Amino acid sequence: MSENLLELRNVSKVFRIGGLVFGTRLVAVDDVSLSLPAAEPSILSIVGESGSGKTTLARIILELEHPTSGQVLIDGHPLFEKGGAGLKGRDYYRAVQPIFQNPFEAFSARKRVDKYLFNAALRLKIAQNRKEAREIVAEVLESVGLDLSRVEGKYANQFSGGELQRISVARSLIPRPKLIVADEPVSMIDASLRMNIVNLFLELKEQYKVSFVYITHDLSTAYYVSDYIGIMYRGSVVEYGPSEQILTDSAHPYTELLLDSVPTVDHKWERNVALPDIEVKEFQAQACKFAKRCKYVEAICERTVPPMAQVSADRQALCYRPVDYDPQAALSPRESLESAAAKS
Amino acid sequence: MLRLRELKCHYHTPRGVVQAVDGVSISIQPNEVLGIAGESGCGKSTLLKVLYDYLQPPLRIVSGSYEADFPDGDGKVKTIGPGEIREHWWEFISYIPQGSMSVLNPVIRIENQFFDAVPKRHPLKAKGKEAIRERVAAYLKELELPIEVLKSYPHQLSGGMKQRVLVALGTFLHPQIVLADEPTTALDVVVQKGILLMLIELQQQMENTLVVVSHDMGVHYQISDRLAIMYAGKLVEYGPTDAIFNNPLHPYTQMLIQSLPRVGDRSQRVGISGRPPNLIDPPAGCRFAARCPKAMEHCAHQEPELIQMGPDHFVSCHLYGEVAS
Repeated sequence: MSENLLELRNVSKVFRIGGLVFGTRLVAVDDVSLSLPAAEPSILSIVGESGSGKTTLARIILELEHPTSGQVLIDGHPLFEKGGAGLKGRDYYRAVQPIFQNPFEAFSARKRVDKYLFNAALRLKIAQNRKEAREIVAEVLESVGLDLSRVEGKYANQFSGGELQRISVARSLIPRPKLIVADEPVSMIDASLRMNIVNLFLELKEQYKVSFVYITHDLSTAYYVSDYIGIMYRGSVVEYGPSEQILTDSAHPYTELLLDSVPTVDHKWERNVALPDIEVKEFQAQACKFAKRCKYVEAICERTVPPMAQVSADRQALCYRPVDYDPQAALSPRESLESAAAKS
Repeated sequence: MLRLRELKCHYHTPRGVVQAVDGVSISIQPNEVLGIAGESGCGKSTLLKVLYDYLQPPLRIVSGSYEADFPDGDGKVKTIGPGEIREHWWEFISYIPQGSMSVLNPVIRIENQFFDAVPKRHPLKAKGKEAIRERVAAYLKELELPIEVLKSYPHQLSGGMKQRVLVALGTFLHPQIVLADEPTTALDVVVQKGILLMLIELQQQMENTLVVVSHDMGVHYQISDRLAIMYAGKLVEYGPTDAIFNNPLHPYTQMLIQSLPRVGDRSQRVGISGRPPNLIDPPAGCRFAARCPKAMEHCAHQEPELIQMGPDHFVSCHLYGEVAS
């Protein structure tokens, strides 16, 4: 048993757009290091806008995408490794399970929904025969508030989005995974049903001792469910730490801007404020990617990439501000991760 | 400005009649921001289509009336209805559609899409393309959009920029009524805030009517003056936005507002169990009864009336009225 259930070490993913000669590079995930402790089941939210690389990061954890560089470890076992200690095949799917954004796309319209559940139990060798599989399927469906008799023999279009998403949650529970990666699981679901799914994650975390990586653009549900939050911006994790601290006392100016933009129902926005310009090419910037929009920007931010500053024992922000714009005072991302691990 | 009385609009499909808008009465005032909130499939987009007089089969007005006050140029006000309203698209009433990603024609430059939007009878059309281009360029400058977008094709613009262009397209002839269908869905929160503030600023400048459809209660709280809550084709509650958020009356509105998670508050939030009824065969009585924790016996048989509960605050629920029988 490793100390960290999930650990990302300097993970980067570069896509090539266009031809070999004239193509450009798109750094979708840029040197991301973070870890989720294994001691307690916990929920890690990755929050970011579209194009921030959060889905690519989820796909890397799900082994659907190979990282260009860096390492991903689940419970101490590296992914994407052919031999030895690598976690692969059936063992991998028993440990890590996905939930996708659109439940209507996750299930084929021409295949009975219960087949997915039975197949998951049989093929991952969780159940030895159909009778055992039935018991397991009935149990996981019950824990998401559904009854096998209501699900059996039906097709995806006979369910509402909320019900179908519950079924995908149930399916992901079948192998009793240690980690469930949910990519925008509630964005296609109506507001009145959304909280039911989110609450389900909280219940399952306790009941099944399963940890979640919850990918979302919605700060308010992220705050509601998660123990840890990573804020992504243009491929980088710009702030990482316990959710309470990050969202009530944010260290990175981008987190501040995001929080300020959420349409809350607590207080009304100031009218007639100028928002930072958004239409700038920030991907290739050899400096802080947020510098052009940042209200605390200093000369150094536009010259060099800021370091991962250790804000407190378990909090980091990719910013010069917490270290008083002093490059010497900050640690590299790798060092800061190690120092955090040493402390805990 | 716009008056709806007991309006019923149904989609006549082979599988049955979808009662998407079923007996909606509301009047929309000049110089206000009206929000229409509800879940997907509650009829809010259909209502907006009807307001825009964009009725295409299988959508039909079944009963009820819809009227608009149209200023006739010489200071007189004419009452016009469905079929006539569409004659005054763009200059009197305009529509900002949902999904900025796909509604601009991908093979036509933005400036030509502006030319196309000017109606034939508009004086600007007679003056020719140069005049229109000047007018549009001046307007974009006012909105602080780069002039270069005029020469661009839609795919060259970011999602936020496309949505801004659509807002500009919908408002540059200064219509009296602007209808916006989910203007910021699928946009990032920072961009969303920019566009919402832009819409509000334009409304305040032009002092016209803005009707915004959105499923996001936060958006309504931020921008609307009055809010109408729809559920399963019915208007269940409407009133001043602040009154609705401070004192929601309908159980559906109450649960919708209570279920919103807030940053800085981790108290337990619950969603609403069950699902909205099928609009092909909606239940008798109150359509929310099956999911309502406060449902009484007669809720399932008797349809609630719209009752006035405060200044301009109406609710359609049996909790607040005498049972007629």
